[in-house]
Amino acid sequence: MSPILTARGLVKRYGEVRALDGVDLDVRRGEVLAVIGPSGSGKSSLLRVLSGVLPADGGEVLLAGRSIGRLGEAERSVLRRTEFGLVFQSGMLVAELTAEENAALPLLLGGTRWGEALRVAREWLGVLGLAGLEARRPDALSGGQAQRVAIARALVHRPGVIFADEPTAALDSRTGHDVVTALVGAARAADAAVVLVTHDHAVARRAHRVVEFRDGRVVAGVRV
Amino acid sequence: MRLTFAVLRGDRRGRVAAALGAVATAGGVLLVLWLLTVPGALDARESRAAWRSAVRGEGGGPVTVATTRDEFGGRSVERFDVTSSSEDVPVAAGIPRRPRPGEVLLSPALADLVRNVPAERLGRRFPGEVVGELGGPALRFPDELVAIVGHPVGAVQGTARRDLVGAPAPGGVDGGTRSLLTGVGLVVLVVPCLVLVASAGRLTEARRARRLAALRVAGATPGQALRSVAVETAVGALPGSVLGALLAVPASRVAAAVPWGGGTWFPADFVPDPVVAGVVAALAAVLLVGAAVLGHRRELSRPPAPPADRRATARRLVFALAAAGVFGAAVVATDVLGPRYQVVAVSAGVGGVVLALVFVGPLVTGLVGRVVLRTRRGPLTLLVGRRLATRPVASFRASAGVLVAVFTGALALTAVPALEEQVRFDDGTWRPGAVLAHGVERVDVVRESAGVAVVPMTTVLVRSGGRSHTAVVGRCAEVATVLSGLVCASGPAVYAPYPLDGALQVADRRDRSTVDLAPDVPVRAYGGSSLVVVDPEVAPSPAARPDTVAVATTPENRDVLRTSLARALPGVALTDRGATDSIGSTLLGDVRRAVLIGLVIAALLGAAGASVSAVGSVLDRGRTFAALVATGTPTRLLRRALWAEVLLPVGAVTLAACGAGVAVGVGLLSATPGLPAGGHPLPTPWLAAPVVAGFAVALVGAAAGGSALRRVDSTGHHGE
Repeated sequence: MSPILTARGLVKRYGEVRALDGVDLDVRRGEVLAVIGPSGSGKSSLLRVLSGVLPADGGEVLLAGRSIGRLGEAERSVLRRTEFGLVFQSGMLVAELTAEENAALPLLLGGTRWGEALRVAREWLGVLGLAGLEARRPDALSGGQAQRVAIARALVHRPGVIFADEPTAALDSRTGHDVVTALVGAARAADAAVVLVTHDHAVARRAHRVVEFRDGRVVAGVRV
Repeated sequence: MRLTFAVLRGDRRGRVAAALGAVATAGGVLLVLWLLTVPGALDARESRAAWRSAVRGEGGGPVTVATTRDEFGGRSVERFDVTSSSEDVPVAAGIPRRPRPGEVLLSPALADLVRNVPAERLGRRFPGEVVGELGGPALRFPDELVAIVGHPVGAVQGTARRDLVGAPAPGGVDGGTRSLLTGVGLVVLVVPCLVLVASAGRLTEARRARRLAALRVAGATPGQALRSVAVETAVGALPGSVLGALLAVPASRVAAAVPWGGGTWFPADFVPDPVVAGVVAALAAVLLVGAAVLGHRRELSRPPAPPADRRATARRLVFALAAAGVFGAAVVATDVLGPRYQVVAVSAGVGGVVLALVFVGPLVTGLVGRVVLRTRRGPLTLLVGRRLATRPVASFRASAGVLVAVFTGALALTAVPALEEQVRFDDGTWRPGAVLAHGVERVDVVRESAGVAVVPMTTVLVRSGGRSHTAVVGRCAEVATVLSGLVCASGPAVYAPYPLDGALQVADRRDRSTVDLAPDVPVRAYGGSSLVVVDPEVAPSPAARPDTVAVATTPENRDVLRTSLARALPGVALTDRGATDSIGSTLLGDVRRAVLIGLVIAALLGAAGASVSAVGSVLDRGRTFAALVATGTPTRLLRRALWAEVLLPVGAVTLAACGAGVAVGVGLLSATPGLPAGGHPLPTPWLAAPVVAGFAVALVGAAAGGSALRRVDSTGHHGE
């Protein structure tokens, strides 16, 4: 199967520090790829560069064969609400919006009609086990529930790739397990690839493939 | 748009911020509009009074007008004695018609006084029948005392004019010092307004930054994020702007009640031009939105990321130096461009200093924070130091209004005492009850028609030792009843308050004739006055044609005697100590009132800005405070930290602002027209007052922040 996302010779520097030091990586459609490694190894930088949140200092990222490196900030934003979905450790939900409004954000920002966007968001919240909580705001949700709202937001526009940066780090193991199950299941339903950054080997074992990262380089790739 | 409203619907504090923003904008728009109407109001006053002066180059006409200033009960009465050889004399709006001989026109306030005061004290000053009242278009202010008295041709000496219409002086009659004060007032009061409005626009900055980051992660483009900030801020800014512009009309009544130049105003003087009101309202809304957008430029232009600390950069120092350069350029421009551009140059210079202070403020705040961090004596210094060092811009925001208020206070207290020194009061030459009339043609007629004992005198010059001294020729015993300190001796003599050297000569200014005094004429010293007195026997020829009369009055008969003199001397000005002092008191009152109003407004704006910023900082850091409470930090410690966060930067900047205010005040005095030599700043202990007031204003802000802190609990829900 041809990769949906390809990284070639990626370099990212923060001053003198090389967070990414010539990374090559392929992500295939529908695949769950776990990136593991110690703190400071460059996992999160890889995810941010792959998703277009941060620009690369060298190398390139190809989405379905098309380079995203030369895209401007606005075009990369559009990419995040069409081709990509992002889930962060902190959730990064809008505190003032309800769960369904948060989940519907990519559609609303893309111009989908309000009612239609909320309907789709409610469907995904239902898939993720949040039926009945649609009108709650983030501060009235548990950590696991909030994270599932973030997953719904990442899936609602049926992206090709979902990037998840330590989505279970702030959760207990049971809730973390449920969240990853929900993420993987929902991604499978949407036929989306998942790039999952984690330091939790139990979470990594849920992936189709695991790459180990150290000092800004891929040091090992394991098919699970 | 709908998304933004959804955010506001779920954001109670966002709604509070929008409401506060609306109130701040309304207040700011109202104040700016009021300040902008001040020059126009002054011009409107003078335009309405234009009929009182001849148009330059008018070149004479059938009307003769003698203008004099009278006084009653401490209030100035402007009197116009008019004759005309023509029936058809155009008159200005507000004047029913040109009064014929024996007819009088009075302003409503004067007519009211005349009706209610015994005629011998006031009414008889205006001989004839009151045939009408002057309307508002002919008066400077509603309660002004004005009389136009008609006389037969030849009865009055005055200025020949074509009509009683006149024309406003080009560029406004009331220029000079008042325009300068208005310009400076605009700058020093508009800046705190802007600070308050900008503070309101960035009230929940950190919270909004988190929201923007979340929106960007969800795929919002920078443009969409910018629009969301703009719409969110405009929700408060637009109604506030419109409200401020609408309130300007009813508020004009309040502004019109403030006395200036001896009277209040017509409310219409302070009603702003609708176009100006619209422009100011629009600019205020743009400013508020712009401040909010600029405050989030990092979140808008860079990739989505959690909000970062905002440190004061060295670029601020460059801006500060540039702003200080504006002040320097303004000082040079004041000299080079001349008085025509003085108001603009001085206003720009003051604005430059204020901006420089505002730019430097965060740098000083950050420095204070780093110094505090180095002490590291406990949790309090750690909390305060970290906040000041890592968020100097936000920390300084609470002090910005205070800084401008202190600057304004120091400037005013430096300049005003020196300006007050320039206000003319009676110099005590004449006794308190003495009423004088200069330029009198026939003293005997005055004596007969007024029926009072008058002291006839001739105003001359006495030359001695190559110098000239103002003198009066009059009988010493009589002159002593009206001149201060004069003690007469037997025999004719010259009385002088200072030594006179060499031969004496008396010069009559009317016909330039001179009389050489005999060398043996005794010159006697006396104290208490600046006038030389010459007995008539010493200089008989000037004494034969007196041109000045004086009357000694008591408080009980002063008005009656003034009335008698005024009736007997139409078109001749009567002066006395009370009238002169009343002019000085009015001017002094105006200056003090303007300064007091300015300081109160600056202090109120400073307190409002400090409160808004302090409350905003608590609202924004609800989660941090909740976490600190949850880890066992006593609320008392947090409150002390909050107070220190506000007061430490204030302490650092107020001294700088006070120094800058004094320096600019000194510069302003040197640039003020009409103060070439006397405008030296006077050191006053009152200079400490703005610093104390600055701390008091900061305490108000800190108290507001402390009050908001009380609502934070360990769950963070309330705070969040």
